[in-house]
Amino acid sequence: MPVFTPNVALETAEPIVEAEGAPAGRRRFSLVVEDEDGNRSEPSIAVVTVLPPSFRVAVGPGPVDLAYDDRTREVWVLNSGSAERNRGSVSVAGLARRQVLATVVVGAKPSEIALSPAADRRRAVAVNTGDGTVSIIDMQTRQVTATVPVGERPGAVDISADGRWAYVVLPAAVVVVDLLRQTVAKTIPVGAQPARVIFATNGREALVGNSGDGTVSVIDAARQAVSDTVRVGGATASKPQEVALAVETYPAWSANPGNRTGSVIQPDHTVLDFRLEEACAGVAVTFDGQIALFAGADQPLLARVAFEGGRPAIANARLPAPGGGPKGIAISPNDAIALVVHPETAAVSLVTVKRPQLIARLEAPRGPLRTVAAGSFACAICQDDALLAVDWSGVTV
Amino acid sequence: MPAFVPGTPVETTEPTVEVTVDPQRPLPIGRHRFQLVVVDDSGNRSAPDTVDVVVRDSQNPTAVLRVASQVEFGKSITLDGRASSDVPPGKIARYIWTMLD
Repeated sequence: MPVFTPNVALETAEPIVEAEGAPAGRRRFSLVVEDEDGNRSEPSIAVVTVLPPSFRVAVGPGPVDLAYDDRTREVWVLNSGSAERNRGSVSVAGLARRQVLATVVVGAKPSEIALSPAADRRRAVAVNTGDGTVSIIDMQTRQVTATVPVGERPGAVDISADGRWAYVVLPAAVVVVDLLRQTVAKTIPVGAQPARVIFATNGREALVGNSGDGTVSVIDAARQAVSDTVRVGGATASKPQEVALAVETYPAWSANPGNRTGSVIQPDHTVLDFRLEEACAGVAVTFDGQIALFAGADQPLLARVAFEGGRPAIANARLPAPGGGPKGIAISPNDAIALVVHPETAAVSLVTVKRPQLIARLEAPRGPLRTVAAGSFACAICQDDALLAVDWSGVTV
Repeated sequence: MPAFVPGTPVETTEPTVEVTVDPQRPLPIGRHRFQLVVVDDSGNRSAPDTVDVVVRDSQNPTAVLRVASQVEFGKSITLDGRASSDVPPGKIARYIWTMLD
């Protein structure tokens, strides 16, 4: 069976040939036929998608969130538990060994997990929405070192760049948890119904998307106080659900499904709003923050928005996922590919970032929920208690 | 009868449509893929279905390449040119395959 080299023709007398060794991604093949008199046809071109390799690791029960530790190449999967078990757990899955390496029991109905980005004294924080606490986990020993009450119905969480502080979202405030002293240090009032908190990698600011009043609160991390509040989407009803940051923080992007808008926030906190074709609840950005992918909340739309010359340029793609919109997006480290999960359908889509175009659609039984970029893999948690890992490193576009 | 422009959808409320072919600008020789998406009265869209139509050359052979839409990594890809044809009474003598990218 021949191995094809790009743009090197292979001739046969037979009408069927088996090609080997094609790299993952969309591959185009051409066929030209020649008759006995030397007359040649026009080329016929066909496209085949070579699916990237993938594997699954059993986690659960009830995975709800995940985070990637790039130092150890492990994915920390937060499991909400089963109806019989009142407490959740964390499955620490090693990508190299393709198995769960440790299981950590946490509190009731956990909803979100964050990993310390710091180099030492590394801690993970699991938010236990069911009992109003956070579990602080030593990432080296994989032991819970403290369970800290934070208030009713905690939700989103993120950890500062120095690993010292966890910001936990409550219905009307952000609670600052001192991970060294393992106590609540402060409560910061923010806007109404905060949905998401995210720290800048430079550690200077944290942004909180407030879905109840259409604002984003900018928290000065040194003072642990709100330094600015910006309106996104141009309306109180914009309902910002997701905020994504570039590596250098700005431009920051907000997905506002309430009025079908997106927003880009500049370093001086000026906001540029733009209309999207559908309500989008998820957003991910490239390394430099110049391109954002927005995921449709209810329709299978992926909108690529590039910030060019001070204005947003929008390109839309309809993904083959009838019955439900994509909910989560992860962008590869080289910013070339994105993985999109469709919870209502049993599939994940690999798309190109440069032009939102489908590369491959992989089956993911029982609905993938959330995704994270994990080095050479894109990982997604699935409702059948599995972690799906897709090797996107070899995909050429 | 609507004129189709590649990449530009045509919407109808009827389940059949005739493709208008301009005699001054006929469809190029080779395979042409048509796609159908249906939308219900709640706005739900179907997955696309596709069909290929081959316009055969009346003077030279016509190549038609068929391949599966996707294959697993590491598996071989079957490239099938059996639907290719020549203008009678000619016969195809050689198949020239190229992976473009």
